[in-house]
Amino acid sequence: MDSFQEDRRGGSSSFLAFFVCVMLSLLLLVTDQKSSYLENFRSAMTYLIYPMQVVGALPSKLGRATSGALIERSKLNSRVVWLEKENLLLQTKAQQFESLRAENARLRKLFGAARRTSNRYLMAELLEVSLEAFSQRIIIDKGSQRGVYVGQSVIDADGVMGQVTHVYPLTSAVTLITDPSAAIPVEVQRNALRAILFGTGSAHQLELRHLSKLADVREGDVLVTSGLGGRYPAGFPVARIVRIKDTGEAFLSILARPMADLNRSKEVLLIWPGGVEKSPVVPAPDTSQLRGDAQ
Amino acid sequence: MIDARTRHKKRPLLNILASFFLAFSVAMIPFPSWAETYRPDLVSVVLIFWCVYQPARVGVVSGFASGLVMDVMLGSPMGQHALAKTVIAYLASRFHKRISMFPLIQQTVVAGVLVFLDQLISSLIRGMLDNYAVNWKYFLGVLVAMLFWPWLYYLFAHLRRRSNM
Repeated sequence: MDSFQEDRRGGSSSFLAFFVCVMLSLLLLVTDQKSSYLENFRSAMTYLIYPMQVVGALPSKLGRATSGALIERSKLNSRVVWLEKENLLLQTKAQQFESLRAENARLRKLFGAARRTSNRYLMAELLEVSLEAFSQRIIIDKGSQRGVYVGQSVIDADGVMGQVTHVYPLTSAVTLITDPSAAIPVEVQRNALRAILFGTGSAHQLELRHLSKLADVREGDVLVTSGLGGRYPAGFPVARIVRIKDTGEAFLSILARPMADLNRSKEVLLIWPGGVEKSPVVPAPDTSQLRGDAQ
Repeated sequence: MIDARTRHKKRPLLNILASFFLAFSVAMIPFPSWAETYRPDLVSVVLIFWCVYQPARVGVVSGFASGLVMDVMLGSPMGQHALAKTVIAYLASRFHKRISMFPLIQQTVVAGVLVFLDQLISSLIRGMLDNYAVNWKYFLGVLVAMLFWPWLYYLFAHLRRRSNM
């Protein structure tokens, strides 16, 4: 067996190339941890990756297109009926919302409190879910060309999904609230008790840490963003407490389930919080852009 | 397996690039969450395959480069996949002659071991940096990845050999 006398053509199997590549990897690892020098390199590389992302997104696009074309007429009809009902309900709620907003503005004026301007939203589509099962990240199809910035909040129709952690020209990476490295300042909607919610790495579980046994929390309580920390705008629903257990230690063990549909959402919303315009680049208005008001 | 690489110098570059492109694209297909643990790391499989059958063209540097692309794609710390893929590319090209003489089943097992090593290195690095717990469930994808080796074998190595006989 002559395996140990392999030819060294191109140097590709030589130990030197191996050594250099390993050292380079280690250097990159350290640099990426300690500084943000590599962000430019990352953005440049995404141009190379974009075509593969588009190809990767094809199967699900195709699936949706065909299922849309092949759907039964009766199903379509019943869906229209359901959506009309839903729309009526939402419109009724919206009327109420208008009057509440006016009242809120009046009261704020009365107190002399600063009025919050409305948030701006941009719809983005999911391109990719992370390959590594232990990190909860997604890639969306809007990037710095549309004014997306690092730290921006991402929500879906039901609640907070996460925040943007890398921005590339055409895409950006979003770390979900369930990522083990994620923490989000929240408050209990019922009594404004503040706490911090941590990701566990499982798509259905969040953990509320460091709450003492005397804290007033109950199963079923809704947790909303508190706005502290300055990353997430206040008042968006994040999770619902599902289980509280007294483990006999100093703090309660509290598990919560995310409100947002982290696994199934195909469309997500990027928020530019009202008041401070963080990005000078204002995306050109188009049909996918929504304007709304948030309290 | 007769030493195939000496005979085929013209066409393989296109094959290599196309297979890497497809493997990366598969890595980006959104999977439902229950299937996420079974997602095969096809980039590693393709990398090992070309390290064994095209050692003059694909080797350690290609491994490093594909790892970097992976890091950018997944938003993982730069160098995490690059290091893992450098190691498996080195092993695959170091022993390419021996591996290419193995029967298909044995080759598949070797590929599985290397893909496993890749996952192990990359999750250990991640574990050190971000305190991720290594969950053995994630290594199920290795078994699925092994299923792709025979396909690659018949698609490229076997077909090429037959057409040249």
